[in-house]
Amino acid sequence: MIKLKSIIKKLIVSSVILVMGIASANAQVNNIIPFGPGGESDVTARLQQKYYKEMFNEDMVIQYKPGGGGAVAWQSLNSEKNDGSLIMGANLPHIIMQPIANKAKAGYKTSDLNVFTFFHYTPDAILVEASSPHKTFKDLAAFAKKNPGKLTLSGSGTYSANHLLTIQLEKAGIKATYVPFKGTGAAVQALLGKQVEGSAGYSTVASKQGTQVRMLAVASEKRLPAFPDVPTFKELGYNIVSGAYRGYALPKSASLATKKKLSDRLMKINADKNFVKTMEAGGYVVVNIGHDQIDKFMAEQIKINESIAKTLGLIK
Amino acid sequence: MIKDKISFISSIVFFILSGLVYLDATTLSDFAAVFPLAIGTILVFLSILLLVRSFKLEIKIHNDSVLKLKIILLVIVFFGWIYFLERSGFIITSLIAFNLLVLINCENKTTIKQKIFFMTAGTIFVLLLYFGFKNLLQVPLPEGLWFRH
Amino acid sequence: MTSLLADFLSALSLINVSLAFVGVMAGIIIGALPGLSATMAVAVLVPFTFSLNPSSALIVLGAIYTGAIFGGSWSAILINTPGTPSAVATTFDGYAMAKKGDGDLAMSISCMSSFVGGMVGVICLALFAPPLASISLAFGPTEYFWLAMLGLTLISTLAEGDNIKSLIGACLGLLLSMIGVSVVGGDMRLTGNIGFLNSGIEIVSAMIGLFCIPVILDLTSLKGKHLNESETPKSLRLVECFSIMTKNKFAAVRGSLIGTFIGILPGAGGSIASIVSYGEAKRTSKNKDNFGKGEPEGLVASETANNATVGGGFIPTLCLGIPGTPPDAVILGALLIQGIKTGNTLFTQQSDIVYTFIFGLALATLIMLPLGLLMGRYAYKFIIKVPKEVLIPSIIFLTIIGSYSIENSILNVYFMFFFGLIGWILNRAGFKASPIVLGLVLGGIAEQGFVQAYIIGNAQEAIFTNYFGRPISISIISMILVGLFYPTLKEKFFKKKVLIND
Repeated sequence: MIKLKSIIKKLIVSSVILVMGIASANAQVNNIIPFGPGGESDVTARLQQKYYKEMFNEDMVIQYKPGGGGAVAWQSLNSEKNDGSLIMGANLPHIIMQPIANKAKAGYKTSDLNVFTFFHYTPDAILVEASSPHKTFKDLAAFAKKNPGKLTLSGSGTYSANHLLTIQLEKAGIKATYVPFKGTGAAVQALLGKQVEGSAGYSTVASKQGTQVRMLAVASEKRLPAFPDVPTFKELGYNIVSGAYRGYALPKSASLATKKKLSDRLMKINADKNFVKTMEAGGYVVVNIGHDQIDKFMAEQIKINESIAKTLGLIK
Repeated sequence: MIKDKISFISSIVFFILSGLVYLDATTLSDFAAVFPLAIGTILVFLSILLLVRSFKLEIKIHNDSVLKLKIILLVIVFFGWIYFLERSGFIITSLIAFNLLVLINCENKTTIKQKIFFMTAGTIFVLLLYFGFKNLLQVPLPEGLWFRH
Repeated sequence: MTSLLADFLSALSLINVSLAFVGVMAGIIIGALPGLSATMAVAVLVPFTFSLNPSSALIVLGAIYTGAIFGGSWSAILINTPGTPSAVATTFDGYAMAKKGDGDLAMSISCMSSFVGGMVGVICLALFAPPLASISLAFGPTEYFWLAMLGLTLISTLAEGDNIKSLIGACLGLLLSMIGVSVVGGDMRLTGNIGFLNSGIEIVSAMIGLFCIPVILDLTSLKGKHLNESETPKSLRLVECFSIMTKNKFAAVRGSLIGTFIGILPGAGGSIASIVSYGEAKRTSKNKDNFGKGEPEGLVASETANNATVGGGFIPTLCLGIPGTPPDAVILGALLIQGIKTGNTLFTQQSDIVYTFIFGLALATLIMLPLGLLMGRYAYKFIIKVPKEVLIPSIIFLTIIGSYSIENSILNVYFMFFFGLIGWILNRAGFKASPIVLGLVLGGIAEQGFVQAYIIGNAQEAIFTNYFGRPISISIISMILVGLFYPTLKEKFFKKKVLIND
């Protein structure tokens, strides 16, 4: 009996040592995603993870910290290590709109987040189901003008990019009814099931759903390479260029050198042709906003979003 | 007079809870307020039913008797474990707390030899899971704020 | 046909078989640990799949998924804590059986039921995926609302004696589900300015707290062993298990079908499936009074349903690109990176990937049966022998490390602890956990369905028909009415018969 116990003990101790050995700490960077797995932030981070390992021979460990639409993670950023071993996903318009809309309840301020790069954005888009009678955006707009409020558009969440798109359309004379769902998946499901007439989503939806949906218009500056037949809102006469930007932030106390190192690395990945190709095929638009351009970019975005917030009545 | 004291107290508690729900609902927009108000109203109705019933009959709850001291000690150590987890780090806190709990739960008939065996086995268990979670599952367990430079 | 054979053979390649084997084993262990969910298990494994070819990646992810859903029943049976949320209903009768000394039987029943449910799910995936996918699309907000209502009517079935307290518990659960940001309206609700609650109640830590803490507190304060040893600890009690399964074959098939069906509906996962299946089994069973005291039929109902959601959940994931259950969302992400395009083209143009995967998933489910039985026996024998002095700290340790791992946040651990204390107090006041959990799980679906149906109906100026005029909704509403009034109708007719015979 005693012999067996001591053998088991020895086995356990040696396996512990083994486990420790296997997982010897490589230099690594922890990438905290403020959302659950499977979304756009996750997919693009996974793609970066692959290239990061190849280019810099370091592991990028992806972890999830979902909650509050990202707020839970952003609240906690500044209590994390600042030596560059941890970066956190940062999303626009979320990090600007949440503190505005929820004020103190958001738990953080936009200036709390030391954002150092944005590496892509997904432009907003209006989509319909493949068998919909609306073949072009003009058809949809005409329907909406004739029957104000009857056009139902599904989207994810309230005060999200999807919602804001419908508000911008309303300002341009197209009055639709926005039906919020919990997450893009549910919004797309409603679209495919024809529970709603159309969907206010991202270009990535068109990529994921393929021939099941028809993207009628996209809110990017130029037409997307993966969807050359889809006009931009600008072409159609609506000044709507918007979408969700995704990038990363460091704790506020991180050094400039750390910021530069990580920003340069991520921009290097952005420059890889294969990376760009995979991203574009998925409906993502690669942008190269590194740490040197970040302040100007953020200032612009804050101005844009604050004016939208004023229209919504969130700021007086 | 009150046949079922526990139900009486519970009904008051839930009545107050519904009141809080109503209060919160006043800050909400129309759509967001629908369900809270509906459920709050049902809860008020049910609380009143329970209150009335507590005067008339008692549905006995089978609760076994409880050793109060052990529970209080356990709850204190449990809470302390969580409280110190981030402050003094996962390993130290867990090892101390685990072995404390072993001792708390020991009955009079456990010998010293057994106690030592339990604590050793427990220590190995804690370490095994610590490394398993940290390295295999990539969970960043707290290192300890006190030890950070 | 030859391509199907080729797919079958490639599923049996050495790599795929070993992946399936390792996947199931790892999945079972991860699922058994409270706090580690199937979603987490799948997410951890995703980076390792990048170097694999698409069908192998799918096989290992599917294997770990189905293993985890089964593994969740272990802690449900042994420590009354659902290892994964899908094992919630397994605690009702599984733990009761374990306390009686039938824990090993419960483990074996759970394994066989998981096998049956898993296979039914895979078969439906293989044969009926496209038509089932179109059915899932026909479910709009209205249907989700009525389905949630159907689920909520199960409260009276789950109630054990005290109806008012069960209803209050359900209301409490519903209120808890509303904490956080509302989907429609964007308001922050019921958080009382506690920042942590902004994201709502994290369901896994809530379940650990509600189910496990009361057990620990009772264990520590009461004398006597945790679980009674069974009389025949050596055997697997296979023969007994088999006869129980055949006796309850109707419940098993029904549970598998319920699970598959709920799996195809995005947004509804294993937890809802196991609760609904259990409730239905209890409502229609001849032994309904034994439910909750260790009735094997309840265990069968719960475990067949939750494993069936694995196969069922893949249907919308693969056919529509919409994740059927949370782990499917992670798997979808992994597929996208591999360059796989989901949708109807997947079954036609890349059918070999899909069918190799389906065969592989069937293989993993098949492997789960002997592997699960063996691992289960050793796990059971081990846990039984662990003395209370070590068992209680170990369980507490698991709850802490488990709830921490959910979101790498100490706040969830605090939350689990306080929720547990409240759960213990409620328990002693006569409020059971099951109605609360039911409300918590179904609340979001019920509310969103209701409000969204209103918005759409209002936009189309057809509110009433939107709620009551849709064909699927009408059938669900009839099921609700039948479920509510059948017992009383039955009595009336039964009485008449007795009079005539007299």
